[in-house]
Amino acid sequence: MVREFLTRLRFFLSRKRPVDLDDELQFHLEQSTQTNIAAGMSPEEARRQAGIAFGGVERTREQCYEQRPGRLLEAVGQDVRYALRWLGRNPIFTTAVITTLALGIGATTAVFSVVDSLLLRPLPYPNSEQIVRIWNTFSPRGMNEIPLSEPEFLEYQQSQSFAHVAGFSLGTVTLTGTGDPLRLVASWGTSEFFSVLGTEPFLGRVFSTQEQQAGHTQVVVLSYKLWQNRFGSNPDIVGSSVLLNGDSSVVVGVMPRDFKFPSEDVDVWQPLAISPASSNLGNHYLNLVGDLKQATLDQARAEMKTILVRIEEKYPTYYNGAAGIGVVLIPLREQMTGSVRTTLLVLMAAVCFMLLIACTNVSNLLLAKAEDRKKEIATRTALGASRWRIIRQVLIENLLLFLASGTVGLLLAFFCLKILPFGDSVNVAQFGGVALNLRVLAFAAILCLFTGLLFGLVPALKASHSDFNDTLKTSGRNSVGSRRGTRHRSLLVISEIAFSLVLLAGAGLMIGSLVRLLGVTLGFDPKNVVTMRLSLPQARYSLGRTATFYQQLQEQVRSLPGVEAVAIVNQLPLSNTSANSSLEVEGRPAGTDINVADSQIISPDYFRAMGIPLVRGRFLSEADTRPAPMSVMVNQTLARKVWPGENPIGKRIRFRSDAPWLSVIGVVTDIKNHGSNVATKPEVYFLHTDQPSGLWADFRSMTLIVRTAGGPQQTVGAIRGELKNLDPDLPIYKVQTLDQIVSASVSQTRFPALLLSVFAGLALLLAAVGVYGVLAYTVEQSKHEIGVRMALGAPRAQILRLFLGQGVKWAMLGGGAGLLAAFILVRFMRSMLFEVGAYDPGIFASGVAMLTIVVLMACYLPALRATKIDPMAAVRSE
Amino acid sequence: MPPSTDLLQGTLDLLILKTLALEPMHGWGIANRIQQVSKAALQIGQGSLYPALHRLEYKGWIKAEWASSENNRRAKFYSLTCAGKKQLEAELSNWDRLNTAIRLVLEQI
Repeated sequence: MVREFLTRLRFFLSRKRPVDLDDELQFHLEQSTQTNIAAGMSPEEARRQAGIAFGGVERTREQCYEQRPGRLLEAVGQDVRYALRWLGRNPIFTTAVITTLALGIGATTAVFSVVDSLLLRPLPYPNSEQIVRIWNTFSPRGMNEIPLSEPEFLEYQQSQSFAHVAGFSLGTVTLTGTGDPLRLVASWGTSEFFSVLGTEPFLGRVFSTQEQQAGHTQVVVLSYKLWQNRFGSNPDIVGSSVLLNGDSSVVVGVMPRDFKFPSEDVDVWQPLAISPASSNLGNHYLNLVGDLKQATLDQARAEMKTILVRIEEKYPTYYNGAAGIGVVLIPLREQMTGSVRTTLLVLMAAVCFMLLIACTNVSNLLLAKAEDRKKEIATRTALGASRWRIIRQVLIENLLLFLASGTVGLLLAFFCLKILPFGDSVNVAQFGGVALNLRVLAFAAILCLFTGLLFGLVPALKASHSDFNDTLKTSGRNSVGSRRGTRHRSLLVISEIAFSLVLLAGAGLMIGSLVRLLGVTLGFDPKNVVTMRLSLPQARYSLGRTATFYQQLQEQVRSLPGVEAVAIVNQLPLSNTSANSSLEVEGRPAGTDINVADSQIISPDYFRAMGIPLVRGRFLSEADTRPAPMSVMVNQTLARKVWPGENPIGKRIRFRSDAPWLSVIGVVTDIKNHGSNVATKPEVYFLHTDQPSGLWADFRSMTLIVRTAGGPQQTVGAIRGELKNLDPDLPIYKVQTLDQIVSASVSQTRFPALLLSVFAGLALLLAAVGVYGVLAYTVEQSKHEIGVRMALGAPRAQILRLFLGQGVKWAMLGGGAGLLAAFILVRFMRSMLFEVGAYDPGIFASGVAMLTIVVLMACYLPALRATKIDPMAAVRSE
Repeated sequence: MPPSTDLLQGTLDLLILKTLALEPMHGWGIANRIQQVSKAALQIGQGSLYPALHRLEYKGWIKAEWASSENNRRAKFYSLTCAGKKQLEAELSNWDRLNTAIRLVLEQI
């Protein structure tokens, strides 16, 4: 075995000299001749007979050669070398193919890698497929995801469908004692929190059950990021103490790098102690998460519903027989991807269409090339090349092209992922980030091979199929639209046009939505306003001190140069978080109708700083805070809803039956408080004082709003300085201009609109190139016929019409098919659209018009060239 | 010339190896010897002889050397290698088995 292998290797490495074989065969021939002479023939006759007996020398030589080990490999190598040479000789063709395909493969790979990380790859938690989020719903108010109160949590926790159910909340704490004060995102979880997710800590341990008891909760688990950045990856961190909100907590563990639950930016986890006897039904602050234990989602749902009924029966006064309370279970991934899922799938479909167009174009190019090479291939066939050999040759060329394109495409994808603003609309970090991992590489490779074989095989088969006898005799004479090849190419062009129209329609709908979204009157003026958030630690700030602090801060900042107005608010508009409370209207019995309003806590200058105009009544002022807050302002929606047709000024409301009445002293215009695409909700504006007056709100965490004369970012430094004078231990965070907030709020629409437009634009370009290429080729092939027609007196205009007519036919057929496909497909985009119908006739019409214009433009040049043909030259050239 | 018998696939290799087991020989000699011994029933055309010789050489069962022929011409002489001898034995026993098997079938039916 070994010896055989070595011999083979030796011959593989060193060839025999071809002369050897020649000499050997010559010797054989001579011996035969000698024998014949010895048998009594004349020398000539002897040689002739020997030659006849011997047969063809070439064939033998060829066969001897084919015995050589590694012969197949060598032949493939030969094909590759030949293919490279051939591609090098056709640089324009090669570049065109590689550019087109690289765009297609690159874009598809980039989008796929996002789809992979968000929808396919398992979440970085061991139990991720079993994890479910649990919310209450209240359909009468359209509330889909209500956090739960402690008594509700305690009941849900007894569910048998779940291995564990944990409650958690999110907030911020301030870390002091290690350099500058740092505001941290904190998550407080009940005892089962880490068991639900199943992740083991990187260092140390997670909370023990004992630490869930009130009074024992002064422990903390750090995130990997915080441990790395703030504590220098100190391996001995476990056991040491840190100051959180001024209280000392013992570090018990560090979580691994990719543990980012419940949010991407969470820095510390602390235990949440809930008394088993808790009866606080009004405070809905708990987020619930559980991992299913051998139960399907439906079973768990059914069980939770029975538990909900039990809760309602247990607390009849609170729920008061209110109909419409429900419970929903949402798998974790679905919760995390949310509406992004549709966007991603639409983008994936769009990019696949673009890839199809790119491949169609390339297939077209390959077909045209194959047509050009008919003669070469016919000659090779005549010289004895087998059909398989020719298919192999063409296929190898095509695969080389697709592999080169794949490589360029991957680079392109890598680059795209670096520059695309995914972060705005998709929180990818929570999924472990987007990366070109092995799966994505495999996807690209399969894409490459599959498209290469599929779109490369047809031209290869066509090339090998040609009847060389025919080809060699005729010299490729052609007439307009008469050949099978032309029909094949027309079909490709028509499908390209159809795909482009689908993409154009999709992009058009998104752009339409974006334009309408940007055109929405927000109700406030976001220019030149900078905002930042502050959280005062409860330990050092009583409500009284909090009020004084914010008043001082506003006064200091107001005195800074360039500052026009300063205010504070608990929740900025568009911030997706709001506290809504039910309110009682004076003179109407409680429970007659449910009025719910967002309660905004503001300082008197809020409306001036935000640029919100007054409708009637007056603005709140400092004077309204003393001796006790008695006045509020409302927005138009609330006034219209609660007091239709009445003057709301002077009417009184309150948030709880044990709180004082508050009179309405002014009405301001509606602002888009929940985002441009959401109807304005009723809103009550309440002054920031030292008395909450029945509001469930955190008076210590406020957003500072500063309107400046220009360049709002430049004042941030000065504001930080003022803050340091007041309290050096306070961090500020979420420093954003109002413009940035507004812009981020439409990113869910802008991002897909941008990408779809890019895809549609590229598709249109590729389709135009395809149309141009095919028509130019047809003109080239039918030069002779055009010459004859012109010689017989056809006017140039008629020739022009002939070819433009071809373009119109393509546009109509492709456009028709595209419209049909678009009508079927845009339905899936419905949830992404804003104030634009999925079948908006204007957008579809402009898509068709744009496509027709582009197709005609692409046809015009080759058609014009056809009219410039010199009939004499064309007819004589054959 | 009597009609040449078609050789079973693989038997040509066996015949060549067996012929070369006696002494080193050139291609023409091998063909000649097989023809003579088989009383002209087996005629090996050069079109199958030389590819077979090359194949065997590539497999390392025979080796080739240039030497003077009986009439002082330069000729390529093939001889068995050690591996070739083993291969011959293996193929001979193979052939015997096949032969016996075929004969058994033919006699039974």
